[in-house]
Amino acid sequence: MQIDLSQFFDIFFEEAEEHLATLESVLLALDIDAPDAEALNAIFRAAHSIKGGAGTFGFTDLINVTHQLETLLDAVRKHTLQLTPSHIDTILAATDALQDILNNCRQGVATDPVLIQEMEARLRAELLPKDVSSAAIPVLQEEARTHHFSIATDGQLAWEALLQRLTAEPRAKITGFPVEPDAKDPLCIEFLGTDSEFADLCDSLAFVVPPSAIRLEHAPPPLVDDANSWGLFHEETPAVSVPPSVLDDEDGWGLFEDDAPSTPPVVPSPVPITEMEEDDGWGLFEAVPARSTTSNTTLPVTLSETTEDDEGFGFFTPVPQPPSATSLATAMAEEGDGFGLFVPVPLAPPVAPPVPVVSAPQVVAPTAPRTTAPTPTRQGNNAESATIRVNVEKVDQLLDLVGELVITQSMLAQCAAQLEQQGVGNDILLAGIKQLERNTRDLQESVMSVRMMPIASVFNRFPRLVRDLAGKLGKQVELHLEGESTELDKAFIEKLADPMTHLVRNSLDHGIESPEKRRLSGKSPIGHLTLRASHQGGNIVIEIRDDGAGLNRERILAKAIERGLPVHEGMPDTEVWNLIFEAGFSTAAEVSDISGRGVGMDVVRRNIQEMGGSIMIESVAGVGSTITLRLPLTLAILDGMSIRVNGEVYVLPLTCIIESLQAQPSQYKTLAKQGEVLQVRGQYLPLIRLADIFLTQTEHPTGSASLQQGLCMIVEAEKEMVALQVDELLGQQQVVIKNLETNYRRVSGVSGATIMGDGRVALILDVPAVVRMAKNRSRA
Amino acid sequence: MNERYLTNDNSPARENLVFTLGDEEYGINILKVQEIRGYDTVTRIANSPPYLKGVINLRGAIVPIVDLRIKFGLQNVTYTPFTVVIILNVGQKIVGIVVDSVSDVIHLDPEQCRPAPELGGVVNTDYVLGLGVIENRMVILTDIEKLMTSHELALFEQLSLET
Repeated sequence: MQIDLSQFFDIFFEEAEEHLATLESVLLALDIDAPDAEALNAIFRAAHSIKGGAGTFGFTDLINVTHQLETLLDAVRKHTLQLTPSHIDTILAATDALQDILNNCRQGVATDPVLIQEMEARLRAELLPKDVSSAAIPVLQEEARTHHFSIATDGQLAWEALLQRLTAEPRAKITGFPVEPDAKDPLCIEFLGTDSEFADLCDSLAFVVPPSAIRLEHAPPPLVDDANSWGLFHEETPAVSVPPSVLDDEDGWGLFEDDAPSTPPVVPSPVPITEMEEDDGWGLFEAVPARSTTSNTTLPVTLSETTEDDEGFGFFTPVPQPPSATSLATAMAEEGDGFGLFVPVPLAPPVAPPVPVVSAPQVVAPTAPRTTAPTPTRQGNNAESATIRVNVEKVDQLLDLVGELVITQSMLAQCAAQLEQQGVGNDILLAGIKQLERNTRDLQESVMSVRMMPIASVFNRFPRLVRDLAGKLGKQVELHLEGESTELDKAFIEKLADPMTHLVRNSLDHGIESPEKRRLSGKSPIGHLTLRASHQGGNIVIEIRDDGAGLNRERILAKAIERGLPVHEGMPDTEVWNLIFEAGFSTAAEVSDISGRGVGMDVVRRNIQEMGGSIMIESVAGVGSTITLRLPLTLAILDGMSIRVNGEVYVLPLTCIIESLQAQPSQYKTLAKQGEVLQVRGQYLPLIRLADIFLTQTEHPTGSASLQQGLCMIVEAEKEMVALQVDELLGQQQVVIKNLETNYRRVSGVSGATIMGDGRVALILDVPAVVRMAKNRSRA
Repeated sequence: MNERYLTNDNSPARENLVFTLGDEEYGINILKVQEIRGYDTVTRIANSPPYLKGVINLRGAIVPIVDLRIKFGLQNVTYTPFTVVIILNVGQKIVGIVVDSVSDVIHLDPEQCRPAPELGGVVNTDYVLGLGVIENRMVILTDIEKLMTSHELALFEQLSLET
């Protein structure tokens, strides 16, 4: 069966990238002097997995580099090599190279072989013991000797890859080819080396062809032709040894065949049969390690011809698959009395005398199915994964559907409430609707959480970036990551990477000073850069904080004046800092390849704003600066408070609401006859009447009467508290955010729309925008 | 003679949905029409032009509703259970238009089409493809897509950017 592997390429690329990312992050977190064994194993496993995948899909460039990388990592892991910073550099360089190769593979472009060879050579060079006293010696001391193997595969595809791999292995010599390319005969090879090298070879062969497709084991070649010695009970590996002659005769590895009967079974050569016939009670011991088996289909034939008259003939069957087991049992049952089917005991010493476990045919049949039990499913072993990959579109679609479900559910709830009011309510109906409501909410939350990912996937790129940049800039920087497990919408994760990279680069380039400068200003020569993510209300707040020089107010102002921006000396700091978000604004004295071109900050701000977030800078000269990104938790669903303003329903994001209160007339004050403020517990908050903002003048039923009847919502917008005057609070509910721009355009003061329980559309207020609109209005 | 009409649409004959605005009959390419529905409550959008009645929930999609009667300054703009909304697919967007009534679907052959006169009806001649003549009826063939995406209506972002 030929499978088009290319359909799995994408999965492999994604996985390989994840492995590379793991490798890199674990490596960077590693304490060089006392590496954590588990971390080393994790790194090794990552490299190993990439190699495995690459082998399966035949990306030889990847295999070659990962193989060397793995060898190096293995030495480190086994403590035969002391880890040094230079190793880390090399391994990092190798991950970069792998990333490049991976990208090339993805695009179907060949990678420059010189690069690969250089990388391989570099990795190999690291492996050479620079210090003779290093612990690498024990490995080399291991006795080198000749191993013989027989290798069987199940198809031509595997053969080609296998031969290619074997011919590339200098220590291996192929001693016996199968007669036909696609024959099921095993390939015999001779391998000169140590046991551990042999184990390596086994590992690497497992990458070339799927492990399930080959079987590799020690074989004693000199004994092959000698019928007497049989090689069955070879001393070295008694449990797994199978005589080559048997292997030769058999029709491949039946267990791996979908349908073996199509190939005519080969009757075993007469020699062993004779021997079997002569030895009463002789058992044909098939060793049954997890991976070995013989062809099931040949067995009944063999038996019917050879064992007819043998009383008490013991036959240790390998673990057959259910159908063959049944046929085997049936075939055996027909053979007559005394025929025993032995349930395999994998670890039983092969020299043990045959024990007739079952002798009556009628007992054979029921036991047959039991023989299938011990076979471990080979594919299930390592593929047991806790995650699945799903196209984001599918999740979004699911989310939309759940949104519709929520709407339908609230519609039903309203209907039920109306029925109740009319006195025709039904308790069961109401209970059912309550239940539906809970389930719907749970479902919605679950679906939402599918989209949530820990921010670690953004943060994890920075240890490497900071390390490289600091090295390049000659600065000493310590990076702290906090709140990596904070979860946010996957859409944000993807969009956050670029802006954050800009900001981190800026902090390193412009913020943190060189060690000398830092020492002069009395700071520790090591700069600190902290990335922190946290939940604040319904927002995700990401801080990028450095303890560098801070922003230079004079320079920014000078530059702004130079560029003709409307600035003056008395501007508050926050406004000055915001100038750096202007396009083309850079105060860096010289342009480097890291930053200073003045593109970036404007893009950063735009990106963040597109995500519905905001960006804020706080900076103190000589102490450092903090850039705060504030993002909504998710794009799709919002906890909202529905309010009524002049008969129209709006939704206020719950996250910005601090409290709502029924204000007394005495709490209203006017300011210079224009602005109004509300006195709340000693604070004076600007009062915004939503009716003013959202109604045209003609419809406006002004008057302090309506004002005083209304409720005031104290809301927070961009660190500022304001009071919004509304007519009525309708209730709190989760709403599905619908984009107004899909079919219309952006509306100021409104961040989106949602569909209420009655099927009508309600607009979701963008509180900061409303506040800005109110300010502009009072200015005008 | 039919050049203008032909250059705008390669098919010489097409099906037109005819609706009335005041006393005039307008025809639009039926392929742009998604559905026709009654006028339902809309959610008003603050600070929008008067002809934009607001948005409705069309099976989960938020769809803006434009009252062409207001846009073209017709008198007697009333909303009754018989007021008709034509849901259009223009570009990638869905828009609803409110008209006085929908009369029928007509098939026009090229020879039944006349070029647009310089002076049109309430609709600016820029959006008129031609005149369709059926017996003694005259139908103003309108490029509804051009009209709906026009700067004048400012329905969509890319065309309503502040200049």
